[in-house]
Amino acid sequence: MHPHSLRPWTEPGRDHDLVIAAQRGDLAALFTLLGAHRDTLWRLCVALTLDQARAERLFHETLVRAAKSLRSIPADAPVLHWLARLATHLAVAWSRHEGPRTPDEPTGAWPVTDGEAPLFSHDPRLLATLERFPEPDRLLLLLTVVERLSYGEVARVTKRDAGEVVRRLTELREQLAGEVAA
Amino acid sequence: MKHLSSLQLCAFLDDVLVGTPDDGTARHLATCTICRARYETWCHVDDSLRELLGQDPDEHAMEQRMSWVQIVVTAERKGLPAPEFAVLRIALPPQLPAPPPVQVFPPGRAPGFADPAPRTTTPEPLKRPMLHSPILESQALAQRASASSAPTPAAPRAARQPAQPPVAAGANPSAPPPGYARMPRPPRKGFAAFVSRPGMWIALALVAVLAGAVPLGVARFGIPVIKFGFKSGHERDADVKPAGDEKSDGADDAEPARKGSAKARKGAPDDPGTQPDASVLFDLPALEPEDGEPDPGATDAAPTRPGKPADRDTPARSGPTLCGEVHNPQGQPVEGARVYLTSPPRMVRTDKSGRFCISCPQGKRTIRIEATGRAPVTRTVQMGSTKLETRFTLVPVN
Repeated sequence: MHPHSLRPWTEPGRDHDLVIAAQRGDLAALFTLLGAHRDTLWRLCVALTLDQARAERLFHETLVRAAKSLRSIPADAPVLHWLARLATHLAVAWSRHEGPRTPDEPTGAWPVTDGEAPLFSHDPRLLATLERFPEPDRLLLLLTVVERLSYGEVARVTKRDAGEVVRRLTELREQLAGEVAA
Repeated sequence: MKHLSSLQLCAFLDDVLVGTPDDGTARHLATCTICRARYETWCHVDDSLRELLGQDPDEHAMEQRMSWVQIVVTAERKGLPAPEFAVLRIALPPQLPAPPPVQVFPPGRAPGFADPAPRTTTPEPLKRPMLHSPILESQALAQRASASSAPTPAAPRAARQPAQPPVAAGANPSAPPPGYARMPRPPRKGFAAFVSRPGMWIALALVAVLAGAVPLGVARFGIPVIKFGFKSGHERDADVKPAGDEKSDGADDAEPARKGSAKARKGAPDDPGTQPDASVLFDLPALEPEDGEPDPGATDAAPTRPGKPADRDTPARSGPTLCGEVHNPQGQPVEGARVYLTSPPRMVRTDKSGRFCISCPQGKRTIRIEATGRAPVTRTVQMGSTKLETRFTLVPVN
């Protein structure tokens, strides 16, 4: 068994009761359900936007949209899969509407009091390479490298073919390695 | 020697390979420096990605973000306009450097500052909401007096002692000084509240005055009698005045007249001194008996008051009087003949001697004499200011 198979990404039935209660109008259950996946969703938003201010806005909008669209939560899949796809769709839409982040655009660095380190303060070449990748590719890297999901899990989350996932993931790693090695 | 493909390297990196492929890949990486360098580069990229994208968010920041979501979702559930994210996300102000720690020095001992000028007067006490109280006012006066005797600026600081609260003249020194103004008393209840009302005392004074004045008024004026305009028949009879008592008036003659009228109705006794006078004066036309009916009034010719015989020839009042005699053709007096005065309407009866006397105002008057079985006689006379004497003769009817 994969060591990360017990994570929320691979537990379809763990949120069943909360989903049913939230769909019946229980706000407490809804907030409990959303709060259970907030950290994972936050990392996903950061990877999709590569900007702390945009990530915060995407995180907020994803949860609000999720609260509005509770009826469309699939019953046979974890809630986190649905949240990941919803956040990705929103990020893609915003990227097409607003364009990539300009160099003059403020990155929205976190206040010091929040206790979070600024993003991408380690390797600017890695950040520049990731910004060129589309949002679905960033999602692949996040799910595979950071969340350590199997190819099959990544294929189910992104609703893509497993072979395509492996092939695209290999290409992305080669590009990143080439940029870092250069 | 064949190098590892990118797919093999990626699968080996993600721990997807199991069994023989995994072992073969591991043996190749141990011997092939090129593939190992490539593998190490990929591992470095993965580590960088995990380091950059895998940070756990701050708990406080996540709580705040979730609260924004709760605000928006709750508002939308209640049908209220949800605030925008830009409104909710207010950038925190930059943290200011911490201020230097505050050093606490005893009063007047802070370094770098000169000794402040000593106070010449005692500090003003705290102002409290005070009511007018003689105790507090006397205390304030005493405080002003003590302020004038405060230690001089030249006195050493150590010699200063906290001023003792002065004691008002005549007050108990052992009693605690009044720290607060006297509060108003709570409102009284029950009988005390009833007694404390001035209106109650005014009402009691009025009742006492009335209780003393009513007995005095009854003793002086008597019990007041309420009289109405309507009078019954017997009350009108009580108002009958005797003809010979016209010059007397007032309440003094009311009772004898009433007695005389009652006796005249019952029938007159033989005593002429006690017989009621039949020739009484009526203000209103009296009921006349029918022909043949005995006329009790015809027998009443005596004066009303005993011991005071009727004087027909004497005018009853100071006004003019019409007197006369009624006879038959044979010269005998006609008793009980009715003498009518048209204006004012009055009627009297003749006595046994056939005489009558009626008060009549000045001017031209008409008088009519009637008797049973005799023809009436009407005559007009000119009344002057004095007494007028006339004579009538009644002829029997055939």
